[in-house]
Amino acid sequence: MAAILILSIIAVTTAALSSDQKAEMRQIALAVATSELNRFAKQVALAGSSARSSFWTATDSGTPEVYAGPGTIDTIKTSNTDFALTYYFQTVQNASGSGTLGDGQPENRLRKVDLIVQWWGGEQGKPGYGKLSVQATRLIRESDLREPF
Amino acid sequence: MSEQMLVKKRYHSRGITVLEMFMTMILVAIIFGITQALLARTIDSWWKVNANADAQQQLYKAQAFLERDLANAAFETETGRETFGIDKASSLTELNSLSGSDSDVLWFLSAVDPLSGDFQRHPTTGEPLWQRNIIYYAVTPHNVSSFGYSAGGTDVDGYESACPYKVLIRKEVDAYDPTLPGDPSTIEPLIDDLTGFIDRPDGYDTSTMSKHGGSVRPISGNIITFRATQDNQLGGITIDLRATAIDRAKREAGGIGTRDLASNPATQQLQITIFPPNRQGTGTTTPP
Repeated sequence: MAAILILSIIAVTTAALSSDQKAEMRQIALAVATSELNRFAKQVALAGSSARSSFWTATDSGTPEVYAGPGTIDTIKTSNTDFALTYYFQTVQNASGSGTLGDGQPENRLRKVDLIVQWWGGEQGKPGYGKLSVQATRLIRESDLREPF
Repeated sequence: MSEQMLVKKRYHSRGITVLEMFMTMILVAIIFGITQALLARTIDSWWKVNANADAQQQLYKAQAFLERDLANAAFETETGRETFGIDKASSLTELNSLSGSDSDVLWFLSAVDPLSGDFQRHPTTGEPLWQRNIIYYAVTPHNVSSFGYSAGGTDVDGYESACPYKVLIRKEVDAYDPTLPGDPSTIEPLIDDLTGFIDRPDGYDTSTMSKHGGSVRPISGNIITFRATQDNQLGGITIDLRATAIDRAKREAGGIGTRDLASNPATQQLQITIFPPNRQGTGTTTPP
């Protein structure tokens, strides 16, 4: 009876610690996502850059599209973890559903960018090992234009 | 009492055999063995998670300060108009007490008046009116032995990478002539020579450090390295700050003091790019 009790306590503690570890990695991944979206927004705002022209000429079918053109990064390694990055974009539509928001003026579109950051959590071959992900979103204006420094 | 009942009673009170006792002992030993192994693993995980959380806490504190401070700065690199500086793997004496440099030094102008907390602007042009120099660096404190550290340090690529007891220091200094809020004639110039501005705390005690009419704060502990690089294309400053989960590193083979901890699994890393949002405009500024 005592052994069962001790083993149960250990199991509960281990589960709680494992969830703590996941929460820590989520915080790191969110910091990665936020920082990367800031960088990406600056990159596509850079006048004359291939990142800008490629992003704003990418075809939008009306549903979130994967974007892997210039200005994106595939992986970021931090805290000894490889984070895989996938970018999705979608042009924001008018509330009425007819046309895109801001289409009355040239170079005035607004695109929603979702960044999915994925990584492998836990230790390979051990319970709890699996792919985890977080998502960060940012709206990017076509009218944001900066000259290179 | 019948003969049959007497036999039954004798049968039930005959005790246990040596074999039964032996089997019981083996079973108890197995249960204790499993329990002990699981307990050891749980305790180990507990140390690891706690130490990691502590290291992350140190990084988040630094991130909050850096983001807030750099939001009041500008990215200007034109000669005579620079608003920030980075001294890579600084060779300043105070940052080289072990083997290799303790960290980079990042310093920049801030337009925030430390007394009011207001962002100061030129009354006619609206340009930021620089009030203070803000300096960030990580340094091995005096009396690092009080943390239980006695090794000499390890130089990896010019940076000290074995001592995780460095402290991230934030200095807010009025470097030269006194700067007055709202007065363009007393605008703060960027520090051109860091000598005299960089010193070390005694443990976490900063009371003996130079303040130059400003303030000194130890922002984070458990720091193994602080590095900064500038992105000239996008106008950002990339920060690479690493804090070690000390209780975890201590429990691992090799311990602390003789091995590179900067890229060790026991070290947490914060890597962010911050974009100072302000511009100085095209007007003339007082060169340093």
